[in-house]
Amino acid sequence: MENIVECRNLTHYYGDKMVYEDLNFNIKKGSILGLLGKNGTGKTTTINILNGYLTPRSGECIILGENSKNLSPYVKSQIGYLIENHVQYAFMNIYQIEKFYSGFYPNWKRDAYYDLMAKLKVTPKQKISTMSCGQRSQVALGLILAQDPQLLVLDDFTMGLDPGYRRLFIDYLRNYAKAEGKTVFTTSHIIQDMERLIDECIVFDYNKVLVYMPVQEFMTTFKQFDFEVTNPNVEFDKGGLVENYEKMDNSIELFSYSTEKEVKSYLASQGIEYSNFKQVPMTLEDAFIGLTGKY
Amino acid sequence: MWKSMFYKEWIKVRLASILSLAVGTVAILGIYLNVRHTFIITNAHEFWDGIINQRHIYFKLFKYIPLGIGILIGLSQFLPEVKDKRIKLTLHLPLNEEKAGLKMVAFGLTCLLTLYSILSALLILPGRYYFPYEVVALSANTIIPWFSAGLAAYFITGLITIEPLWKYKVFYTLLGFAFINLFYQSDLAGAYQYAWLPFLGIISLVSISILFSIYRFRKGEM
Amino acid sequence: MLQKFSRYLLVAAAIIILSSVIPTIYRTLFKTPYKYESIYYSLLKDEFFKSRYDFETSSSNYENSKGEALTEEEFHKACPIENSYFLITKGQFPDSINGIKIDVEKFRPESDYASIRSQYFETPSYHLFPLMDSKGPLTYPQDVCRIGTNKVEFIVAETNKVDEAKSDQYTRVFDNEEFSYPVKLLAGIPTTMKPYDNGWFITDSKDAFYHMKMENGKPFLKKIQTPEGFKVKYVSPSTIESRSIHAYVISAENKIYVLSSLDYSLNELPIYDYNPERHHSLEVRKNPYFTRISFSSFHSKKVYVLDRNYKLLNTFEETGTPYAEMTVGKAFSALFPFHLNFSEGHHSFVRFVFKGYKNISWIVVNTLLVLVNIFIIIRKKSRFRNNILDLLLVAATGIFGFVAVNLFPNKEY
Repeated sequence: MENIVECRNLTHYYGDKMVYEDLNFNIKKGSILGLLGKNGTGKTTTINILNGYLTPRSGECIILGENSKNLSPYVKSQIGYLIENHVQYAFMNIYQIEKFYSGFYPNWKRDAYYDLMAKLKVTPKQKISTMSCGQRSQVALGLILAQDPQLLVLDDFTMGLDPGYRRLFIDYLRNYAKAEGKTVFTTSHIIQDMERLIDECIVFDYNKVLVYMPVQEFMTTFKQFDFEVTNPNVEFDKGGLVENYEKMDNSIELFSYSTEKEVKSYLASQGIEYSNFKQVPMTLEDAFIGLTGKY
Repeated sequence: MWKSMFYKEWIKVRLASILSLAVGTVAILGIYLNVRHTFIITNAHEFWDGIINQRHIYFKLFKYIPLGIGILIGLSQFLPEVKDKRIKLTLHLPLNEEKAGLKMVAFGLTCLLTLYSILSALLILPGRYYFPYEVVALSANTIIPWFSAGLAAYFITGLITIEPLWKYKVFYTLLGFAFINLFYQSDLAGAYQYAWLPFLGIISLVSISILFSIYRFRKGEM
Repeated sequence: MLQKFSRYLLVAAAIIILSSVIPTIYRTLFKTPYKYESIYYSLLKDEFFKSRYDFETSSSNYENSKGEALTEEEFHKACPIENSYFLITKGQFPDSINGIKIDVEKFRPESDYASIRSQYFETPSYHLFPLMDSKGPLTYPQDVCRIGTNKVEFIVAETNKVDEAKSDQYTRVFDNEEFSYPVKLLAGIPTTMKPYDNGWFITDSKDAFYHMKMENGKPFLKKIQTPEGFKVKYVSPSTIESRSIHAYVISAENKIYVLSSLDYSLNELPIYDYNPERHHSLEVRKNPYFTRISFSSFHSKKVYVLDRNYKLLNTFEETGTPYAEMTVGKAFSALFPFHLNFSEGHHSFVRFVFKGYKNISWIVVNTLLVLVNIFIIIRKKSRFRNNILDLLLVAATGIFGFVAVNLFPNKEY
């Protein structure tokens, strides 16, 4: 399948502080890729590079065949961009902002925007700055839907949304993307509900990529095992079989891509005594925290 | 696209424009009420003497109003763009980023020049009712540096507002202050008649500064 | 590409602005001491005396031409005419000086003072003036006069309308005297704070020199006979009580004349080195016995003393160190290859005056700044190719270019 976005060997630093080195990823046409990571791991940096607001130290991003450093007006018209916090021209009202944007896009889908606006309890003359965060997110989403781009780039869109709006946003977006064959690239530091949306995920940690695979694959291969140890001072080496672990007195939560059998034999080989060993089902959020740690 | 671009700019500056027009008009009204009052309570020829021989500028109240308008229009146009880094939205519009920036400035400039034309006409033309044309002509000459200062202030406000780094914002403010100061060096009516053209030349040098600011922003100075 | 261009425009604007601002700051920080010194002439001793005001002790110091200190009393006695006020009040004024009998009564009417500042040689003007009645009471007229492109007009302030009858009356007189419109120069004293009115001195488009007055409501226009090719640069009307002098006149060749009111004759003074572009202030002090004319530039002072018939009696000259040879001045030209001024001493307009590149003492500082800039380029790991123009600008404009190119960073991404 054709790639809408190809990022090759992206390397960026802020001063001497490395954000990441040699980051590679592609987004296939029609897929939804989620870039997950805690705050400050480089999610917005990636979005800025993708949109041409930042030139990486090295490497390049090709979007719809063009280098993101210099996007042509046509390619920009094919990217729907939702800024962190649903920033929009808040000095306009919902009527004005539609009038403004419609002048730029020949295939502007006015109805798509107004259908979504009809669901909000706002008056057409109400300024966007006076709306709630949830309402603003719908205005921003409505504008992107009306723009009808091939690629949607959403920067941390769940931020500030209450659970209802988050669900609404995610479900609406997924149905739309799948029905219209749109490609979506989204970042988030809130993982809750994210598995309802994304097909593939990249998990960022500081300076490195922890995971880059389809969500389904990640959820089936990445596992959590809980057990109790007799010696509370036991430590595990990370990097091999053990991806990460959390310890609370004698209780251990161990995260691994290995099977139950492999883990048990590993524990035996290390001479660790344990009891109450069980595999625990995880949500994507659990898996994310398990992988990146609580801190 | 021009229409849409101008529509957004107009939404931003309309309040500031109306306010500027109102303040300018009220000031002009005050100036001429004062002239009328002086003509009635004292003698007209004494007022003339004040202007012609004692170098009194009867509309001095207006001195810093064009400057204020320039800054106000600049702020009302560029502050909403940098709030929450909304300039990202503007740069993401499907048009060349440089053109987008220049269109914004073109609109602001048109708006400012319209305001200035109206206000300078309101300020100068009624003078013909009270004074000989020589006074009107030199008065028109006297206000040129004041309006030029406003124009310069508009461009520099844009430069300072869009500049992403605080350090440079401070430097540009200092430089801007020094620049604006040059327009208020002499209180003598008509003193700038040989200088306003070169001053307009320097103003035109800073007129496309938005391209520099946008470039810095796009390259990731934040 | 366009953004690079916009950066260079900003750099150019900054260089222009800084070339005015930085030197101004420098001159404010390193002021040159100003000497408050007056030169007096003693008819008694044919000698010059100095009086210097000391701001710290709030007192005056006096010395003679040999540099010997004098008390105030000694000074007053040495220069009796110039200190007549003090001596007369104390009753110590001499009856005669060098055999000439001194008549105290003549003092006031035959004394005059004129301060001619080059700044007013060229100044923005409305080209309108009040014409008072020289024979009537000293009052401000209800109208102003305009000498237009083909007629004389009086505009009444109350109505802002032309007084046609009066205008026609004057226009006829002007036509009779073959006045060539429009007027070039207007010199008069537009105030009632003067002992008497003596109308206006004007020149026409062909540089003919006229005296214009109103006497008992009637126009008066007198063409003044001038030497061949004579052009008036400036006229300072006199208010001498005896009315023996009409005005002090500066010609286009910077010669000084006294316009006598006896016969409108122009008496050229034997002064040939006055230059209003350098000497920003010229002072004429006249008493019944001599006329003292002094003018000074930044570092020099010249005094001429002329007798009653404007023949040279004595001269005084004092030359100090020019600014360019003082330490602050040398540092100035080493630091700044050029600078921008907006005012000059010989007019009151705002003008762009670029001065500089007179010597090459700035080359050291400029070279140093180029090296510093190269160091900055290396440290920022920029490519030289992109900074050649910047370096050239620093080399040519020194500190201004250095500040400007770094104020608008030439970053590579």
